[in-house]
Amino acid sequence: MKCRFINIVLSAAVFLLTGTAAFSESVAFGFFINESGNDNFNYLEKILPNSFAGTLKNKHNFNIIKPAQIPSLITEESSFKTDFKEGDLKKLTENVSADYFIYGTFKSLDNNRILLKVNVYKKGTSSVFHFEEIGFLETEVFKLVDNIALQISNIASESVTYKNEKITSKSKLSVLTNIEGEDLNTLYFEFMKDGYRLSATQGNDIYGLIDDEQINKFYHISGVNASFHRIHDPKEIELMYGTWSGTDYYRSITEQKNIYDRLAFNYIQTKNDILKKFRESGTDNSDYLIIIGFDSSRSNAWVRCINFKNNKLIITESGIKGSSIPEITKNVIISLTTGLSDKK
Amino acid sequence: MTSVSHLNKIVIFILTSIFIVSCSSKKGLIYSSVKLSPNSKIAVIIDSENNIKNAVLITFLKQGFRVKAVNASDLYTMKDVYDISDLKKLSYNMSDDTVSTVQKTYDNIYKLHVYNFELNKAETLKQIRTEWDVEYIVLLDLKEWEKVSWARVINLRTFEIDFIENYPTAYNDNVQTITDHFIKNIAGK
Repeated sequence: MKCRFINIVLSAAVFLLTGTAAFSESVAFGFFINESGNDNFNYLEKILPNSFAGTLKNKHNFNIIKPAQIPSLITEESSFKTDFKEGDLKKLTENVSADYFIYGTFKSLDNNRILLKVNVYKKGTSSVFHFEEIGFLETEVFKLVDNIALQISNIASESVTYKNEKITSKSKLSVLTNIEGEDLNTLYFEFMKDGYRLSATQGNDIYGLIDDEQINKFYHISGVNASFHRIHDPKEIELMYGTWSGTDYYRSITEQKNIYDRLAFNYIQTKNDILKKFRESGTDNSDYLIIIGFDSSRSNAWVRCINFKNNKLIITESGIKGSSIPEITKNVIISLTTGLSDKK
Repeated sequence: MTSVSHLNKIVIFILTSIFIVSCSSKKGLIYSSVKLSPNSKIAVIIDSENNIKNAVLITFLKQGFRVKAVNASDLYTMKDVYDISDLKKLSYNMSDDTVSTVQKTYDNIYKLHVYNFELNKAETLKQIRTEWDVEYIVLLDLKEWEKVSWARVINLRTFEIDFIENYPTAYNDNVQTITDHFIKNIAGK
């Protein structure tokens, strides 16, 4: 009996250990470029990625590759390549043996603060997760590194989880989702019994506007502080003109350029304008916009949350599971009301 | 004989399980943050044949509600809010829809249209409140037996959902009894 117990314990330990090893993601780092306009901060260009890498390895069990170990980041003159764009990521990471590539910029601010812009690119995809953090350089630099490493460890996972704020209790929510009728009532029920007030957004209709496919257009989302976005590159759009083009043609491509500016390159501004109206559309303003996308079998969902007051993207999480809409909704509420956890 | 008896028992067990599971999957629920007084000014939105609409409205009127005439079927019209000119321009001029920027642009156009649609509905509800003096919108979807009828009440002063109910329609229910059931819970009688 005793042997059997020991066997079970050992098997469980082996299973857990092998499981941990199997789930170790690998992360490669690029340099963090100094955008302060002050060369005194150049030393941070190497220190920052190395610090994040060390924390991810030691605290979150990631396999890491430091910038100096990536040949594609080193130029022919033996200096470091820093001026790449999102459109170059696929090619740049072709020969990098890591699941994710992380790079960014930093800028010194007043009162010894620093603004860090971090980009997480999953190799082989067309998406980048971008987020910003502000911290103090001397007194809280370790805390800042820990926070960013924790964010990276959650974003660099299947669930692409990002959290920088929890929704407050009793707040008023505008929910957009791809379920309707009695199912929408079951979703509302879970929020209402937890004390949240629900704006009539979408619920003011008998039929839903968004179907299972259309909701995925909201999977990528932008806020003023963070975005999970498709890589776009102005170079992809060639709107050629010259002395050969007439007035009508010129007017036509100018119109097209404006469309791309408004809907792709400067989309965040366009969206913020409409979200402001959206927030104020009721007589009592909503606090948060919550977008929940259910899969067609209603066993899995993702959530995105924007704080209406400052247009910040505050929560993303995918792969929220449950056996029914109420169960998934309960798990969505847990996601919206709890902070980040160490997923390793 | 014994094996036939066992088989019967198994079949009965399976059928009973299926019945229980199907019943349990259609649970009712109700949440109410306010009780409507019987003389509240309401507009009822229901997408049904005219005779059913009338039966529902009469039931509300009988209970003392001041029902405003709102035609549910054309309350929100998509043609007013879907400005498709941007889509048209892009589809005429771009042939390679695999380009990431173009896909992103299409997705963003769709998102903006959803936000715009919700904005327009909110404007319509404001108009219903201010011009027609309606306090509450009552949405009803009445279903036959084995399905779930549901109701939702929107407070047009706060633009919040004040009441929701899912009610599994019973075998002997009809339009009148389901409407009576919802009115009873909405008014807290």
